[in-house]
Amino acid sequence: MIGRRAADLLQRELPGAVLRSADAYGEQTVWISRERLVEACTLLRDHEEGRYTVPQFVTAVDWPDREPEEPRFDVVYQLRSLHYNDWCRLIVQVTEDDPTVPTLERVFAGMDWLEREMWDLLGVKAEGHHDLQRLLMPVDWDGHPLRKDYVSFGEPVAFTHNIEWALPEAERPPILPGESR
Amino acid sequence: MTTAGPIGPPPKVDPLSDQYEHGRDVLGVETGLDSVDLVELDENTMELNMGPQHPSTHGVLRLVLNLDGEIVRECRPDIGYLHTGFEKDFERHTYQQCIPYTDRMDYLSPLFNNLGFSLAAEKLLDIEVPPRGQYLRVILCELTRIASHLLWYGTSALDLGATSPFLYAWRDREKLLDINELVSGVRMHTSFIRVGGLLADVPDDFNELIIEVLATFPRLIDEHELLITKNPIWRERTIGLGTLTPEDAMSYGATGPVLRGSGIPYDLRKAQPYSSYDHFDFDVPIGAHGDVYDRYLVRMQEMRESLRIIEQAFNNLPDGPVNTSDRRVALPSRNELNTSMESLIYHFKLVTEGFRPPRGQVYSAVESPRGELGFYMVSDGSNRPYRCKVRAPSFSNLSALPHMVRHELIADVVAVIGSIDIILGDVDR
Amino acid sequence: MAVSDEGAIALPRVGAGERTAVQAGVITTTIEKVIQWGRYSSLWPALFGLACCAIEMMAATNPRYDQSRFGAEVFRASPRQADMMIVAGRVSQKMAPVLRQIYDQMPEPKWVISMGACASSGGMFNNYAIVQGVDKIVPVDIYIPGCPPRPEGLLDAIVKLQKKIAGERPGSLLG
Repeated sequence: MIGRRAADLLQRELPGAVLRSADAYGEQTVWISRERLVEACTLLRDHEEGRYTVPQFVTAVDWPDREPEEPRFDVVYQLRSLHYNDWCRLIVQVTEDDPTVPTLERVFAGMDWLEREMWDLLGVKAEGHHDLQRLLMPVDWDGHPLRKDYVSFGEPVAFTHNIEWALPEAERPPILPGESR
Repeated sequence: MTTAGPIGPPPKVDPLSDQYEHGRDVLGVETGLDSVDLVELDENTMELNMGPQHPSTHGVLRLVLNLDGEIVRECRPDIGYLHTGFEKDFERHTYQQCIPYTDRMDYLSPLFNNLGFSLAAEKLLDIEVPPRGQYLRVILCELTRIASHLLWYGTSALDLGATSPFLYAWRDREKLLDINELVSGVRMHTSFIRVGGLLADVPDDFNELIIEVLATFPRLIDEHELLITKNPIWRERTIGLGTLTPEDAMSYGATGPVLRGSGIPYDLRKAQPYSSYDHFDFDVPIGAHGDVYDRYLVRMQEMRESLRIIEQAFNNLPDGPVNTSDRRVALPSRNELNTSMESLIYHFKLVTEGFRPPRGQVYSAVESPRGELGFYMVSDGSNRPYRCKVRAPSFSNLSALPHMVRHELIADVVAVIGSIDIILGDVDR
Repeated sequence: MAVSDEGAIALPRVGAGERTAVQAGVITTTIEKVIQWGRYSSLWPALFGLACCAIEMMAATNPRYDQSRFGAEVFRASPRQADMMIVAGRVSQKMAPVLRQIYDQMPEPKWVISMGACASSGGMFNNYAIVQGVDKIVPVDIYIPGCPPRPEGLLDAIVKLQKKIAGERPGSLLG
């Protein structure tokens, strides 16, 4: 079971940090409380039985319909241990009103850019980050594209079924394709 | 009257009216680059912009360099000039429709993206690809790895002033693109690896081309090495440069030849084998010092190891189907379609709506030529991925660049960027 | 019927020791044609490879496809030394002002080839991040379809551009 080592380590050393743990598809996922996140990751990185030294990614999954029963964002961290050939997944849940997590950039150097990307595309802030700026979008962009309420739109493609929406009156062809027969 | 068009419901403001904010009015904005603030270290430093349009940055990468004479004091990469919004596009297409999108991310090794996505979807669905499909996937992926390394070799030698390797490497790469074209009809972006197997079985001439590749490429790779490996100019320009210690490499999240060049023998094909890589016998080359020269040697040797894998896979290629027979994913066969109405309806629904994996989240990683390419896929039970995050190897490798070029000469920045082997489509997604 | 010589016009024949004008090394043409011939025979592209189409653009300089036999060999890194811009690849919102700036820095006469589906119309990416066609930013002379177009497609576009230039008038030179 992938991630079992990390889950057991956290249960043993920091039992207060683990909110719950579940496994599916051969992978174990651990839900961590936000306040103990830095402690948990430092433990996983430094402990002899863990040695999860490689940050794989940080991202957030947006479930806007879960509010108000459950927090909106699932911030997912994955760390890899080369020594024990294992990786683990940690999830921190944050709400829409307070989408912040503590920064991990002092624990792993690679978290710098990963957290900036998460802020840019999803709007989840990493508190304590030395320079949280947009990374992939232009600096003055409005909005966070990967959120579910952000409408991703390029330009309307005109078909016959949406021609009133796609083209203004002046540009519509006099005979629509398919109508001439 | 507004309808839900093929790309989703229309926005609340009519996009053709004046009030619609496109986010960035490209015609009205003054032509200039986004400013990136850099700390002025002292009065003697100069800020230099190595702009997005540059012959040696391997794509649209912008570096803001703080220079003291010729020595780089600080380097700040500014990325995002190729951001395409792949992850948003994944959320509004069905699984099989996402496969052509994955091709365009890491556009030099497109089959690895297809493979990573397919493996994640297959993990969610819990289906197994038959052995012939797995072996063919291995053969095609290793051919893509050789093609990608050849291209890297040609362009990074060109950056440092050697023009012949470029032409030699690309001439040989054409032979591999011929195989792609034979198998799928397209040179790049074949979208050949689909969820459940492959697009189709390979034709008969495939064997001849593979035998020719296996016969000629070892000598050709030796020829490429002969051009520059012992060349004193190359050695002067690359040895001892851009050193990355193993601890730093791990802390930045670097994987692939960047990690292996620093001495850590971690290769996903050996450590967590997928798609029957554990049936093959090959070695994992590692470097000793973690400099540009070691990464170069690692990649040249990886090409030879890929040839070994292709030979073993080709000689033991099993017979049988290439696609899974699981009815949730596999299209009904032609015979069935001719006789059964339900099969026809099912075929139609499977093609237009796609299959529905159960709820859950999986992560599946492959060893691409750049490192660990992973797909974190969250499914909510519908026919589209709810969230598909791509773990891009070039993104993490590039974040180690400022560390690697500190206190190097500005001409060496080019050599270091070449040695990381970044693809901006992968970095920016 | 037999062909007779009646009504035939006697053409001047080249006598012994005489040469035609062409053999003497003299050709007659117009200044316009010469200028345009010079322009289209050495179209130097400005490096503007963005994404996957850039790889096929580089493949067109291979020994197999060999773009330099059409004159478009040297990719100039500086736009000030180039007269053609091949926009190869998808143009994102962040890259669009840079594209315009590079185009403005090129001296006249200049032409633009929009290579690939993404440069011509946004391609398969109808979303927030990609400009839906570079003709929203720069004027385009030739569009090449394909994702990515084969190197032969790019060569065909260069040849078509050469024919187009041959038909143009070199207005900016002659005032």
